[in-house]
Amino acid sequence: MDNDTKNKIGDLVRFIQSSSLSEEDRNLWFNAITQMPKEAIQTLWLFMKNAPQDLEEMNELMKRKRDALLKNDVEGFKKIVEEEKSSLENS
Amino acid sequence: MEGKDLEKLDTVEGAGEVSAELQEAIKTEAEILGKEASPEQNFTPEVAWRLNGRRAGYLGASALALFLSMPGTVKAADTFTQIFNTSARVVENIYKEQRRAEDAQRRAENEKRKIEVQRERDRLRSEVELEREQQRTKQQEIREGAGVAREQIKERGGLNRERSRKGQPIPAESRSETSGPFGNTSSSAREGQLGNTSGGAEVNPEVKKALMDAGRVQAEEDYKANSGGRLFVKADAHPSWTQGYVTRWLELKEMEKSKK
Repeated sequence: MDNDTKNKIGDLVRFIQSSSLSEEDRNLWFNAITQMPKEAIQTLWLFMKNAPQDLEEMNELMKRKRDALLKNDVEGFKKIVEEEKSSLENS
Repeated sequence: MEGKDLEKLDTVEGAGEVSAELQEAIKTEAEILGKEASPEQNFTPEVAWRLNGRRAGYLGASALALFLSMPGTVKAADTFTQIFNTSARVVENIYKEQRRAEDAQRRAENEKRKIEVQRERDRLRSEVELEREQQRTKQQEIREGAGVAREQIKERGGLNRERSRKGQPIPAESRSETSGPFGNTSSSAREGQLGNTSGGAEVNPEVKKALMDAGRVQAEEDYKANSGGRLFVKADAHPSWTQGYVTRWLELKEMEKSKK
């Protein structure tokens, strides 16, 4: 792992740890972060830099997606995608 | 995505598979999130930043959800690849869009600065023009004022000093404390209170009579002393006195003749 990605992971971990997320949710992020490829790390790092105020919203979204995937809830996942699309269009 | 990363993903433990429909939904999401914003949208850097932050957040949430729900599933590799490829594209697009928004903002600021500079130049030019116009108006007023004064002088027959020189009366309304180089001086003051000896203005009748009487008396004395000889009047004698003197001399001579 290159230094740039390591530094980004360090930034993300500090950001999550100093957030208002619950301990359980923080650990969900930590576990995922430590296993992600650098492209995903860079994506999350950009999110942290650009829209840190949306962390709780993204945390809830992440859990809804996780649940949809775990339950193989295609409609539930599609609904989330529609919400995302609508949100981006209205931004 | 690098092969090394894919290998790492394959080693992650987890349960379950991503169904074909779910994979299709994830692909759709990736397409939506990976779509580059149209340059015509003209995002400000702030909006681009925020929008791309949300895109990155949605994508990151999917990546997190995938890792949390089915890590290491070989069959999920395509989905992961889709997400990570999208991530790379989204990241690239985010940087590109933000650069574009920042460039647009810089151009707008430059344009605004140019307009402000031009506005300031126009303002200064207007001030200079206004000042020139005021000077022109002032000079015009001075010229017109001088013309009116000349007309007025012409109408009343010339300058006071010219009228004075010609012995013409000076209208009271045209007298001025500044009408001459030494101020205004009345004609009587210039002519003297006791009259002159060269035919100046007459004094009052009583004085005139007294002067004539004095001349008459002097004529009688001279006539008697001169025994009717030639009379002589001094050059500086008052006309009234001279009048009395000469007339009395004639009377005396007449009287002498008549006696003869």
